[in-house]
Amino acid sequence: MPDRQRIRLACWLHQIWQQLTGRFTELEYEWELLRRRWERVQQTHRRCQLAHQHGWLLCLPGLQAELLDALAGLADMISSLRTAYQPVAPQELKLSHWYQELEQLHDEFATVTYLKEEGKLRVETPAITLADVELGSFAIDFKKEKSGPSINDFAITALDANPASQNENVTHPHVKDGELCAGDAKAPIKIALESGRLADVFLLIQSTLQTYNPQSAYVKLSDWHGVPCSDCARSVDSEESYSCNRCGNSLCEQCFSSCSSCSSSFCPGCVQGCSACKVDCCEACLDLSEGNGEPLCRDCRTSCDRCDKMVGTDELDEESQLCKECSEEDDAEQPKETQATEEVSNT
Amino acid sequence: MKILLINNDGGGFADHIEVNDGITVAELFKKQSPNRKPTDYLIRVNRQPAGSDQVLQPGDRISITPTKIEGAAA
Repeated sequence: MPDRQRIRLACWLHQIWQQLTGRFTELEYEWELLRRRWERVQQTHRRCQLAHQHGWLLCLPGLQAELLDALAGLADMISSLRTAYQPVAPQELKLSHWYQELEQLHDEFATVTYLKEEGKLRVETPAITLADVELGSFAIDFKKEKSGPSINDFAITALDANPASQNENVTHPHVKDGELCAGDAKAPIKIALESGRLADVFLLIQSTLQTYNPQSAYVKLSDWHGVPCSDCARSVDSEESYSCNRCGNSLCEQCFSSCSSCSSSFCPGCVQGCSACKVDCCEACLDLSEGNGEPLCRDCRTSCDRCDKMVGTDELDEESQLCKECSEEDDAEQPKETQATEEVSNT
Repeated sequence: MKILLINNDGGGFADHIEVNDGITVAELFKKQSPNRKPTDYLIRVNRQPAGSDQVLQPGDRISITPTKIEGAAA
């Protein structure tokens, strides 16, 4: 960028910061972190107390080390918040300061451009790969909005977009709809903005883009390309996939089967058709007929009234509702009864 | 001697501090961030990259910016 353009840009930044209202957004994320770290301290302390009460001396040193670590984490968070809320005297930032900031930006980033028509100052990061997922390079745009400056004045644009398969607005695990959720960078960015250290702000944003926090991502990188359906291999959003209740495989909406009896979802290999009505059922809802050994669903099986054997409804004799064996026994008994009845009648 | 230290790690404070004459960049870093690795940080003296053995001068501006910061999902 030629010097004259750099000077004009420095004037632009100087003007923006002179209009600084001094109001910055609250540190909700940091307060939430503080609350969680305090909870961890309390939990660890309770465990130490329990171990001491029950005389579990072997685990006490480990628990005490954990308590020390939790207390250190809490102290760090308190220190960060104290620093963030320190009143900052408004600084007189001269034009030379902004010129030096721009010079540093050009030293730190390969591409620095001023998009005049859009009123944006843009830097470009190198290509970023996190957990073997190539996310490409990103543009970090500073455009002053109505009040501020604040972190909200910085937009992130993927230049070689490789968005998450289930949400094209997520171009980075911590970027959604062009906005970075700065997480741990929020406090130092706030301080840097208040001090007019624009180069530091861009560097902090770049550092955040170059770091993956799987505990708090819009889309985890392990799900970036979706979960493959075990049947058709199509990539599907993990929240929209079905899980087989028997083998645990993931399935897409088109490939999963459900048991007609219990309605649970299964992969096609884990259901079987009822031999009578042919509907798919899971292993738990099918039972083998004790008559012909065929698998039957609940609707197609019943018990013989006499021997209580489980058989298909179509295996029962229509009139007697007995199974084949009991029915045959009856049939064998009948001629003898008829003969006996005749003998009695004749005498 | 007095220098300006900008620590963008954690809270991100910037303050003038007193240090011993002849202190190097590495020594200052170790003093300020004893449990951290210098390779995880961008260390700049007067906005320029600095070697670990560079001796600091009165009025120097030293910034320490982490290269790894965890973001979040709002």
